[in-house]
Amino acid sequence: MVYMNWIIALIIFILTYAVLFTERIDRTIVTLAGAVSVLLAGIVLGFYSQHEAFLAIDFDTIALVLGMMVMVGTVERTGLIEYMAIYIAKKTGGKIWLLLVGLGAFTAIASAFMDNVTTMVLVAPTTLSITDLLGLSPIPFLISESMLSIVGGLSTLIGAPPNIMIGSAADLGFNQFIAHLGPIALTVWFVSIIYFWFKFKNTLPDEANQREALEEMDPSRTVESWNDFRKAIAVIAIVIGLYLLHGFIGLEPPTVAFIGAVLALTLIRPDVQETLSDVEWSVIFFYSSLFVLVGGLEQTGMIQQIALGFGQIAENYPVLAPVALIWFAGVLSGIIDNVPLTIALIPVIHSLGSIHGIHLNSYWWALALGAVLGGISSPVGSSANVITVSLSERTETPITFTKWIKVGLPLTLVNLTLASLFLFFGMRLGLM
Amino acid sequence: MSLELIFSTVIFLGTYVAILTDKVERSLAAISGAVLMVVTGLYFGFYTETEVITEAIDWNTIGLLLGMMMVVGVLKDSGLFETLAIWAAKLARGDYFRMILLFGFLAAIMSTTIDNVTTILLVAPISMSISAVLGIDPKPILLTQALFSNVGGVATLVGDPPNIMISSAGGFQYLDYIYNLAPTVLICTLVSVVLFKIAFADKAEEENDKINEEALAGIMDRKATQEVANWTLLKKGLFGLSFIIILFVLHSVVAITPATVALSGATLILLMTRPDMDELLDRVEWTTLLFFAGLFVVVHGVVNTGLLTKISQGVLHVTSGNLLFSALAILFLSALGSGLVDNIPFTAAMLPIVATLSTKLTGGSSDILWWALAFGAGFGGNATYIGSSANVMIVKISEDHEEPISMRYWLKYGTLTTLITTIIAGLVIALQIITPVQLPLLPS
Repeated sequence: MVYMNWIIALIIFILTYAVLFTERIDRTIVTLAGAVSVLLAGIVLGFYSQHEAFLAIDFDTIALVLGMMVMVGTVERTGLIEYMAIYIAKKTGGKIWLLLVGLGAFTAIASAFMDNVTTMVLVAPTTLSITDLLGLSPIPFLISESMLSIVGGLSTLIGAPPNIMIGSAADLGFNQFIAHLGPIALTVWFVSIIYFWFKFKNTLPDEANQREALEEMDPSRTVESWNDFRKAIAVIAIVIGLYLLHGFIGLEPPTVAFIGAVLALTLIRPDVQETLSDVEWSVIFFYSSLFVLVGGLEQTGMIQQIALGFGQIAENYPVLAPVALIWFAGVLSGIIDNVPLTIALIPVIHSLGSIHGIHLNSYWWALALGAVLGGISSPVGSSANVITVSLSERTETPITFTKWIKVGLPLTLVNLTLASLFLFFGMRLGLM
Repeated sequence: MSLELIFSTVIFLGTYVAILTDKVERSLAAISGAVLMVVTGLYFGFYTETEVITEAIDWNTIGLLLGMMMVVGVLKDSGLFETLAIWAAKLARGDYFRMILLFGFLAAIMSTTIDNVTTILLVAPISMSISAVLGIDPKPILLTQALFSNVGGVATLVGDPPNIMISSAGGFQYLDYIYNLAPTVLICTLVSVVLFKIAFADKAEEENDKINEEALAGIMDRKATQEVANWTLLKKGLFGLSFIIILFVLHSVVAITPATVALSGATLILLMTRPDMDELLDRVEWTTLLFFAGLFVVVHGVVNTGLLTKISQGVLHVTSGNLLFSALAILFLSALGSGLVDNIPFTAAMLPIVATLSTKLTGGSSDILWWALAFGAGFGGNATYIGSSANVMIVKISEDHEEPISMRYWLKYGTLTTLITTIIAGLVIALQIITPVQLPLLPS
C-alpha cells in the first residue's frame, strides 16, 4: 500500500515542521520525536530500517559542522576575534561610518569562515562595549553586522549551514562556491552598506564624541596567551589553505574540518572535555533528526513524485524556474529556520537531476541564494539574528521585531532581486 | 609485508598505546588515530571516506549508548537511585556482610540495564556516606560493587559495552543474551557470594563490632522513599525504561533493532518529561561516543589491510582448527587482555577476529566463540583496577574519601573473582562443546 506509506510519512513530516514553527516544544525534542516516529512507522510498514535511517544522516555535513565547532571553539578561546574587532575599531579613528563599514566587513569575512552564530556571539559584545564607550546607539551596528554576517556566510561552502548541506548533496567544492556565489555576495554586501547609509544616516553622527576613549581601548587585553594566539592564526591559515586546495589534494571538506579540529586541539591543547562540552550537541542532534525524518519521506518514494511534478514546470521554464526557487526559498527562509527548509528541499532538487534537460547546478545555487539571503528579513530568519536580538535585549535599546523588519524586509527584497538578476544573466551566459 | 600493512599496524598500535598510557585524553587519541588511518588509507587506497560512515562505524552501538545515556540522564534527577541505595542499607539491618552483598546485588542488577560506570556513580557515593556514618570500612563494599557490576553486566545485551558491540557484529538480540549468558552469570554470582563470605568472614566480624548503633538506628528510621526528589519524573522515567525493556524482549515479534529501541524509549521519556535539552545533552558522554567512533574507524583500517585476518589465521594455526581449544583460547586470552587493557578497545579489535574464526570453525552453526569473547571481555575486567572503567571509578571514589583501594587490595579480591568466574565460564563452554546434545540454559 504505497499510498499509506506516503500519507503516514507526510503526516509525521508536517506535524513535526508545524510544531517546530510554533516553538512550543524544544526543537531538538520535536525533531527527534519526528525522526523516531517515521523510523518506527517505516519498520512496521516496511519502508525504512535503522541502518537506512542512520545512513540518511548526511555525515559530511555533521562532520563538517562538528569539526568546525571544535576548531572554532578552540580558536575563540584565544581571544583572536575580539582582538581583531577592537583593532579594526581603533583604526577607524572614531569616524562612525568607517566604524560601521569596518566592523561590517570584518563580520562578513569572519562569517565566511566561521558560522554566523559564533561570529555574532564574539563580535556583538565587543561592538556593544565600543558603542558604549563612544556614546552611540548600538542598534545600527548590531543589525548591520548580523545582516552582513549572513551575506558573508553566503560566499563560501563553510559560511552557512545551507551551503554546507548543498555542497555535500551536490558535490560542489569550496572553490566553486567562491566562484559562483562570491561575486554575488560581494555585490550584495556593497549594496547593503549603501542601504544602511541611507537607513541610518539620520540616526548616527559623523564622528564620535569620545574618540580618545577609543584610543584607550587595548585589544591585547582579550588575549591570555600570545603563544596560543599565534597558534590560532596558524591553524586558521592552514585550514583555509586546505579548503582552497582540497579539490587538488583529493580531500573532502569534512576531512579538512576534522584535520583543523585535531590540529587546533593538539597545538593549542585546551581541556578536551571542556571543548567538547562547548560543542552544541543539540544542533548536531537537530540536524541529524531532520535528515532521518526527511530520509523517511524519501524512502516512501514521495519526494521523487513531487520532483517529477516540478520537473514539468522546470522543463518548460528552464531559466525562470530556478529564479522562482530563489524567491520560494527566500520567502520561507524568513519564516522558518533555513536548515529544515534546506534539508527538505535538497532531495526534491536531487530528484530533478534525473530529468534530462535540467541544469541542476542552477537550482542548487538558487536554493543557496534564497535560503541564505532570505534569513535577513526577520529576527527569526537566522540564528545569528536571534542571538543578536537577545544580546540587544540586555541593553537599554533592545531591537524590537518591528525595528528589524523595517530594516530587513526591504533589504531582503533588494538582495533577492539582485540574486535573481545574477542568476538569470549567469544562466544566460552559461556561467551558472 | 606490504607498506600499507605496516603503516596501518603502526597507527593501530600507536592509538592503542596512547589510550593505554593515558597520556592523552582517550577520545582525542582515538579520533586522531582515526583521522591518521583514514588519511593514510586514502593515500594507499585501502580506505574511502564513504566507508568510514557506512561500514566502519557501528551506528547501532553508538545509537544504543546514546539512547541509554539520555534515559539515565533524565532519571538521575528523580532520586530513584538514592532511594534504592537507602533501601538496600535498611535491608542489611546493620550486618556488615549483608551490606556488602546488598550493595553488590544492587550494582549487579542495575548494571544489567544501565552501564557500569553510571551504576557506580549512582550507588557508590551513597554507600560511602552510609559507611562513614556507621563508622565502618567502605573498601569491601565499594570493591564488591565494581566486581558485581562487571559480572552482572555480562548477562544482558545492554549490560556492558562489549556485549553491545558483539550484538552488532554477530547479529544477536536481547533475548539471545538472556538465554545464553544470564544463567552462567547467575551461577558465577552465587559462587562469588560464597567466595566472598569466606574471604570477608573475619573482616565482617571485626566491622560488625565497630558499627555505631545510634547511627544505625537513624538509618533504620529513614524512609527510603524520602529520597525521591520528583515522583512524576520517577514514574515517567520507569515507564520509559519498562517500555524499552519490553520492546527489547518483543524483538521476535517486531524486529526493532537495539539502537532504535533505546532512542524510541528516550524520545518517549523526553516528550513526557520535557527536560532542558542543553543540560541533558551535556550529560551525554560525547567523549565516550567519539572514543567508540574513533576506535571503530581505526580497527576497520587494519581489517582492510588484512592485519586481523593474519592474526585470525595465526590463531587457527595454533589451535589446529579445534573448536574447544579455540573457544577456551578466546575466553582466557580475552580475560587476560581485558584485564590489562580497557575492555572496549580490546573487544573492538577482537570482533573481526572472532567473526572470521566463528565462520571458519563452526560454519555459522554455533555462536560459542562469541559467547566466549563476551565472558572473557566481561569477566576479565575485574582482574585489575584498570580493567574496566567501573573499577577506575570506584578507585577514584575511594581515593576521594581517603580510603584508597590499593592495587594490591584489588589484586587480592578482584583477580580472584576473575579467575573463578572465567573458570566457571570455561567449564560451561567446554561442557557445551563436548556433549553431543545442546544443553538448555548454556551458551550455544
